[in-house]
Amino acid sequence: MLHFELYSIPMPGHLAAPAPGAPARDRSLRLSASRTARRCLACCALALGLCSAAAARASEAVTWIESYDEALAEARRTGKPIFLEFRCAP
Amino acid sequence: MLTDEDTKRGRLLRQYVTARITRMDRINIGLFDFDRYNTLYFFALNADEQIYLRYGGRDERSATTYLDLESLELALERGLDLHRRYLVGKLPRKPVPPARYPREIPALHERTVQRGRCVECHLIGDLENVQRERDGTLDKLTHLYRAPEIRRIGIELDIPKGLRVEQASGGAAAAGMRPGDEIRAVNGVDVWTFGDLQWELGKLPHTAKDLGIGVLRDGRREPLRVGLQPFWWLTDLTYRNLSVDPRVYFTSSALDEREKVELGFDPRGFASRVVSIDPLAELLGSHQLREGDVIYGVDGKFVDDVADTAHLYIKLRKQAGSEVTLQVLRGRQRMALALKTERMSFRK
Repeated sequence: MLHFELYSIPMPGHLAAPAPGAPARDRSLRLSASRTARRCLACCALALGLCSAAAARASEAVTWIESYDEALAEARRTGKPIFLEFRCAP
Repeated sequence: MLTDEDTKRGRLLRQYVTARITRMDRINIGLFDFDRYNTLYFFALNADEQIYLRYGGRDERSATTYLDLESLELALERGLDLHRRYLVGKLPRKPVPPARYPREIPALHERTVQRGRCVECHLIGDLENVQRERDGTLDKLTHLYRAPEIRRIGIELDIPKGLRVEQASGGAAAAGMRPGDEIRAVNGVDVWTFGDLQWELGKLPHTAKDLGIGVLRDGRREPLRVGLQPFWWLTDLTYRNLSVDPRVYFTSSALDEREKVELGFDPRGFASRVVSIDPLAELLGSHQLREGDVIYGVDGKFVDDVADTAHLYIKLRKQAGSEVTLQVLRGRQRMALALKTERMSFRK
């Protein structure tokens, strides 16, 4: 999915593939610029992907409620059991 | 570490509503009753306040002897399994004990809630006994010794494996317990963790002569009858009941049997060497003991069923404020020294 999104990103006009018949030097520069831009975009997309994966995981992270009554209410709402910890200091 | 979401433990914990309580002010201590001298203690329960299992418990060796991440995962798995059974009606409801709150214990309320202080677990343990003392209902041998040590009945667990027996000796071995057995029940009550096991043992009267332990062996339940020796319930008190009166302003360490005999004392006695003197002793004029003194008697008593040191003997057998005479060996000289015990200042 990540790869699909990456390679589906339309390239801006000035970084697009050179026109047929353009001088080799220009073409080479354009190709190089195009490759760099693609790499940048790939990095951005990867970072975005990682961020969204992290965000998804964070939503599943273990969070500790500090109120017994709230824990009871949450257990009633979700149907989950409660794992309750008593400790002397936070 | 406990909540690392990328571990098996994290995945198990996410299937629970997780709650952490550090103040006991509004907690129903009747429902959540446990040995208050644990640093950490856990319960798995449901929204109907049916407790599936406990996780925690300690012994004299350490506060963390029975805390182990592998056995915690086993407990978490078991809790989820019990929850599934409860939801489909395959786990019978247990009676819920009467509710009780810290505010109902005047000594605790005065010392904590009224002063805006945290109601910590160990304070509940300490001040419940202070209240019993005020009410004249404190029975030190019952109320101070409440979380028996399984090793005294011959059970050594393979701790990461939960209730798997690593070694059986004494009464447990005599009953037929073997390494590899999985303890599953105590007197007919299912137990899933060391916390459950210690809790059920703690409910037995000290006069109990034996107990039923159900073990799982080769996939089959085997009922065992484990004999209990007198004083099977004894535990070390040095890490708990810190506010038990009277104050004696010294600590002592038991002599070994050989040393007692060499010094001419009863080998069953509580002869013990003074290892520390509280600076308050001089300030309060409590006693003139010195480190290294050997106390071999208190008011002419030399032996006690429970106490193995002089300071424990005084704590268990004397009232706060009483004056006693200590029989002391200092160097080669035997002498009698007076000791005036005190009451903790906050109780005056």
